Amino acid sequence: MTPLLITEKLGKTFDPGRHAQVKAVSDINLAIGRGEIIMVMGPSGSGKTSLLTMLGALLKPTSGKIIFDGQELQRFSAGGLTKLRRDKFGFIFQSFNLLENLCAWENVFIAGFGANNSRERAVQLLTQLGLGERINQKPRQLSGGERQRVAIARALVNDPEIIFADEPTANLDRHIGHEVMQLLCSIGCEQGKSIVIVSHDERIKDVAHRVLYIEDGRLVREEKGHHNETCPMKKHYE
Amino acid sequence: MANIEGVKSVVPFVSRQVSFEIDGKEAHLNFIGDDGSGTVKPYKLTQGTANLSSQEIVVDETFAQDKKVVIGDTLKIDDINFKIVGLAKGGNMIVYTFALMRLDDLRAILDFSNNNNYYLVKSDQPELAEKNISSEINSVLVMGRQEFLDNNAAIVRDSFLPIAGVLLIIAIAIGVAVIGLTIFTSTIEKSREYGVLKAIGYTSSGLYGIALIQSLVSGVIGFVIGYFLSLVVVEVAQRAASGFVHEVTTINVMWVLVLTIFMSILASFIPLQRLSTIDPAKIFKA
Repeated sequence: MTPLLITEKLGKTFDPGRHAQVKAVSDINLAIGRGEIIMVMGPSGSGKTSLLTMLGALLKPTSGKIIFDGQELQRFSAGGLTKLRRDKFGFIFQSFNLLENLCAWENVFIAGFGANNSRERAVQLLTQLGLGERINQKPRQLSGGERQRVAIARALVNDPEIIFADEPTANLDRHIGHEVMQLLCSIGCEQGKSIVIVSHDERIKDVAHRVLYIEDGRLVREEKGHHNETCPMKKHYE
Repeated sequence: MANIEGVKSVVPFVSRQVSFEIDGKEAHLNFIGDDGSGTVKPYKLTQGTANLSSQEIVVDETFAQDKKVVIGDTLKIDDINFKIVGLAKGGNMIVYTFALMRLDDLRAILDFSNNNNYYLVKSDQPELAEKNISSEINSVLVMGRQEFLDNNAAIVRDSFLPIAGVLLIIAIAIGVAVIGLTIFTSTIEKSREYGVLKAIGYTSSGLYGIALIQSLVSGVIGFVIGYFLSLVVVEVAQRAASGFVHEVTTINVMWVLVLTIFMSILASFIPLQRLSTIDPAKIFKA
């Protein structure tokens, strides 16, 4: 099967040509399949987030290619990339990044476009994620885990093909972090969505099909994950 | 003049601005001489009487309030003491104020002997009367009722509208700056949230739409507050300053609303550059 997302010799250098230039990502070759959960791990400053923002069409690479669903991202106009992010990508951020003045369902609603821009759709997603009773709460009235679940609902509202999650458990305690990862894992399996998770938290790597290790912007190691044993949707594979 | 074709009746009268002093300060009144026929009278008498004896006058209540004079007080004009016997309203033209005294008193002050400087002509055929008077008496300027009213209105308009126009332009500039800076400040404060919206698929024009809505909402809230505040200010100003004239029509209010919307749209352009340069990739930095 053709991978959903491919990178070829992907590289990113900040301030190229200057004395203080920083090579954040170098020669990364990746192939992410449909429904595959990938964990990108590495120490701080290793280039994980730069890689994720390039994959998410938010940062232009300085070298190499990103091919999504057979189309090279470099060939897209700025408007085309915006549309791609809106229709095909979902984002989950480390610090939730919910709009503080909006309640839970409004935070999901505002991210919906076209037919997905409805209160019913937002409430349905939040209910599926166990927040049916909390839809009218503002982010400050929600716990960290609840806020991240609202962020997950927001990422899912446009039914994306791939979700990019940046340190999704960084601001959560171990128990809640585990719950959030189980939830992501279930969504990946149940809805067949590809998920790219960037983290340096070793405890959550078991949810992935594959774990990629990155150091100094280079892919240094790849391990097979334990997704098939740990996923709450285990029977899915039996 | 009474025999000219088209003229029904003629009432001669005298009117001229007279300057005098009240407590050492210069004061001005535009006196009209009353011949006792009842043709010349105050627009609306509010206190006292308009049946004047010699050395009695009626002044406008705006003048009375401004100069702190009341019925029974005397004003020394051309070394003659005139007693205020009546107060009237409707005679304040902003640039001058009308007052009434007997025709013979006014002639004496102005040294007019038996001369008149105005004639009130009544006619059933005003256009014919105007034409005939103009052709038969060279020394008079004939003005129809509407022309006379327009001339008086023009004095006020030409004196104050340019100033009001400049104030209006300043007010619009301040309005645009205040709304614009409010939205700009809000945009800076909410840069991260705008970045999130950009990341999840909002276009720059979509974000501009949000700034425009914020700007319009701010403008309309300011308009509503300003409208009710203006009612209070008018009330306070009328009590504090004599002769404060105001007129607020529905059309005026609608124009202000249209101007407010225009200002809000203009102000929403101020954060445009900022919105377009927000980098959505930066929201990944914790």
